[in-house]
Amino acid sequence: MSSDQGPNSKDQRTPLPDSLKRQLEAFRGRLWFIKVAEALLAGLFGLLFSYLIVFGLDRIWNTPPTVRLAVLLGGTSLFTLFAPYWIHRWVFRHRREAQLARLIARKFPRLGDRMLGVVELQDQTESKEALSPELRAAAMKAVAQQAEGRNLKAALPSPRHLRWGLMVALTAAIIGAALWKVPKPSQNAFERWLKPFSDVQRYTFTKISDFEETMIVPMDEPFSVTLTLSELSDQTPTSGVARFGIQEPVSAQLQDDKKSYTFDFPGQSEPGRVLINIGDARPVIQVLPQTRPAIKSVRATIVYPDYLQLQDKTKELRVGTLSGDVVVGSKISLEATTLEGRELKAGTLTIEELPKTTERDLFDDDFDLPGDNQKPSETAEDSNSGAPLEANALPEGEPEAEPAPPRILPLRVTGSQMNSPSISLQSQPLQLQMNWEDVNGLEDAGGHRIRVEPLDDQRPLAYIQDIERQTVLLEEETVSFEIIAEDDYGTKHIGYEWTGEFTKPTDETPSRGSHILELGAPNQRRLSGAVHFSPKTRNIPAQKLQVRAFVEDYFPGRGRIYSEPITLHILTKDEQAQLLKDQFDRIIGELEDAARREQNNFDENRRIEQDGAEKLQEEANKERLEQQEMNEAENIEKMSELSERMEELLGEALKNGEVAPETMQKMAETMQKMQELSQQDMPKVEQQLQEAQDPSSTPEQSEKDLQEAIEEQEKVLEKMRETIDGANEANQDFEASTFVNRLRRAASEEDGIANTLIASIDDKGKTTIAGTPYDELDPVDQRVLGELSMQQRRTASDVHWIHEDLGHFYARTEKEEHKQIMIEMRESNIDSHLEAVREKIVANRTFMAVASAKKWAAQLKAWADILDPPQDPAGAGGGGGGEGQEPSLDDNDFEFMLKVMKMIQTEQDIRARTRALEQLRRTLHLQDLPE
Amino acid sequence: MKLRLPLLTTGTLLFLTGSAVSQDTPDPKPSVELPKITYPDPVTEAQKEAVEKHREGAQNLAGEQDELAADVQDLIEEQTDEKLIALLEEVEEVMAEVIDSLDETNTGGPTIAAETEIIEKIFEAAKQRSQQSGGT
Repeated sequence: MSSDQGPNSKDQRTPLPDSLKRQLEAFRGRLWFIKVAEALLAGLFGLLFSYLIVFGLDRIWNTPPTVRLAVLLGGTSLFTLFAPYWIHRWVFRHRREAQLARLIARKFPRLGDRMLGVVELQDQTESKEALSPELRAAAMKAVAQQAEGRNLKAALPSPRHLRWGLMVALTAAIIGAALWKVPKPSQNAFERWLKPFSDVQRYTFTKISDFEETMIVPMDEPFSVTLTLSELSDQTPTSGVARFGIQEPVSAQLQDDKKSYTFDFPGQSEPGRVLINIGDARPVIQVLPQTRPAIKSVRATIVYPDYLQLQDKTKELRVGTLSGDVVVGSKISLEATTLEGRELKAGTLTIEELPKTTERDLFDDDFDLPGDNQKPSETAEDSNSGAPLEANALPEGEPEAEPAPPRILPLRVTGSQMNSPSISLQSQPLQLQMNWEDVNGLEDAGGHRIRVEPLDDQRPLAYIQDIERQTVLLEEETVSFEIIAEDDYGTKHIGYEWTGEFTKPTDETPSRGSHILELGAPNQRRLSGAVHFSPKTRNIPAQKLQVRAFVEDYFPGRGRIYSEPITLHILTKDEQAQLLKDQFDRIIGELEDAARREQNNFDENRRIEQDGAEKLQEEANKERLEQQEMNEAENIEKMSELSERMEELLGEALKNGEVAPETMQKMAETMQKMQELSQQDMPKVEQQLQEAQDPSSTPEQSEKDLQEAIEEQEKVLEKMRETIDGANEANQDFEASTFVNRLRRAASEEDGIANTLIASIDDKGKTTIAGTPYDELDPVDQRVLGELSMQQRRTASDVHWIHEDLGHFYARTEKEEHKQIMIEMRESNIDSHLEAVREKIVANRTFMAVASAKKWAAQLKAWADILDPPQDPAGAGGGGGGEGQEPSLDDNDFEFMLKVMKMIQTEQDIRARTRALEQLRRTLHLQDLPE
Repeated sequence: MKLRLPLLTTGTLLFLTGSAVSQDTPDPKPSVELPKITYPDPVTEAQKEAVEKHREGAQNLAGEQDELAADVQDLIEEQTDEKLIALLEEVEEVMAEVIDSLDETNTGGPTIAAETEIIEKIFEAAKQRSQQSGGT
């Protein structure tokens, strides 16, 4: 037996009984199933649960990608880590019977150990002699039988696959319900869970339209944040809450019309975040406070109208007004630069027309007069006396127009600069408002306003200075004056015009002309020039001239603007002599008044003296003396003024040249005495009167002073009388010489009348008016006859007075030549004859009037020749010293001085007229105007 | 008529003459180069008329200056003082110069300066005569 068993004992393994084997295989299968199920279900649960976490978190907040990634990794880790580990533990490490037996032994230790024992027995390889296969089989059988009675399922480690399955089912149900109920957020959450770093936005039920996540707001100014609900929003919360940093939250109600929420925040100076809750939407906005963009500088470029010919001008606008530099018709453009170089996005310019403000003169007669529709410009024209009407018809007054609605123009923006388009300026004031927005969307703080007040191109102004408005001069004299003109932009040229007017009818044509003095320039606002005006140089005979300066600027069609006129009375020598005679008369009259006052003072001084030395220092007498001293001072002043006037008169008489040397000498003596009186004699009286009042003097001393004053005053009175006598004597000579002039002037008047009448006869000897009844005459001829009649009446009146004056003069002087003329005049019955001439003129008896006027002109000249015989050229040289009387040295001196003075005067006239001619020559190119 | 004129009156007349001279005498200027005056040529009829007027005026003035020179000549003949005569002869010479200039229609600065010199010299002659009278 042993031999049979020997060779078989090595290979012979005793297998486990089939029942046991089946039982173990069933146990293992069950174990594997449960644990694999557990692993799979746990992994699945992890995935589903992580999705649910993201879904849930997204409902609360915008889950960050990192959190979502963590959740996803956590969810998948059950699948990727736990499941393999579980399977390895329960499947790979429980595949053998021994491993299973050990597992069973945890629940059934005895059975498990027996099973482990029989499993080990089946692999027993000892010798046959040492082992009993039968025993081994019996043991296996016994264990199998024992195991058959047991439920090995109970030995399985606590199975959790059902629990996992339930959890998976539950989460799947939740997900399913979510997918069914809220598919969009579920799908959104799935995408965000599956791709945590994708840019899939969190789904919210409250959907906000796109907004800027960074917002720049004006610093320290309240600002608003407005969010709008999207059309796709599933919810429309009635309100929302927002919070800036840690500040108090602010809420906003849904504005139904716009579907928006506006949160108002107070001003902020520091950057911060605004967290907003609207429904489940949690937008966050970064807020950056920034100062509003401001302007650093504004410059205006002014383009003047073409007619002004001015260069463009750039002006810094430091104040918000542009006026004074802009004229109607100009164009301006603005250039603005922002502060700190802030970049700009856009800008606008609003142009608004303002009502025209008209400055009115409170003293203007037209002020506030209802219904007075006279335009200001017309008033100005009227005040400009004498200016030609066509030159004044300026289109300057415009009817008031309704201001146009504001215009808005875009500004050209380049970096931090913005430029406006060119703006044409009319007479209406404008308000220009610049508004801008920087690249951050911040707008300006109120914009920048500029008031533009275009001014009309003002009329230039011309005036004459350095000359009296009424000036008397001889034909040979030259007057100088200055013309000054000013304009607001530029003067083209200045000059002067003159218009003559004869003071009596004559056949001559009044002088008229103009002269351009200086050329200006477009930018020459002030222009001036000296005028040397010589009537003789311009062949202007004696007459009254109105001289006006004129100026032209560059304004089209404006023409000349005139100054106030001055009047030049150009006199003949006899006319000037008459004028001097009148002045001399007045001086003598005033000198006589002064003498009377001095006499009164003298009488009063004597009365005071008569009171005696004792009473001299009484208060009343002191006052009388004081008054006397004051009276004397006044008289000194008057005498001083008279001597100055006398000096001027003497100078004028010298210019005249026709005043006799003897008369000039007497006038000079008169002036000399007047000067002595005012400078030496009378002040002595005043001094003595002052000393008589000296309180420190004794009564006797005072009386002595007063007596000395009276003595001096007596001398003064005597000298005054001498002066008056001398002046009267000079005046008589003057008068006598002017008898000549007056007679010659009357003759000249008669000649003038005759010549004017002759001028009315044409070349063929036919008169246009002779014989025609006055009523049938042309109105012009009627006027001429009327004027001639008036002139004849004046001449007749003059002659009448000459006749009468001659009588008085002869009574005083008893000069034979005056008597002779007086008698001849009386016998000629000239008064009635001159009146007859006048009647002939009125009756239009032209030839008779001419003949008579000529006859009486000749007669008047003849009488003048009696007083001033015409010099015989042949005997002129030998006439001197005919009486054989050697003139005194003083006489020679005076004659010499007079000649020298006349020479100087004449040379000065020549020099002044040379200047006037030179001026004419230098301004030749300007003489394009007919004179 | 015998005239008795105090010496003071002569002085007054001299003063009057002097003031008249000083009013029109230009201030002495430092010697500088004077700008050259370019006279415009006449183009238009009005300008040609103005040229003609200038020519006539200058020649008339030359005539008047000539008359005045004759007066100076007369005055020289009346004088005995050599110094005074010399002065007046100088006046006459300058006057002749002015006459020539005006005849040639030269009315510019040199002519006006010569006229000023005439005035100055006549005034100087007056002073000379005054001194002469005061000394005797």
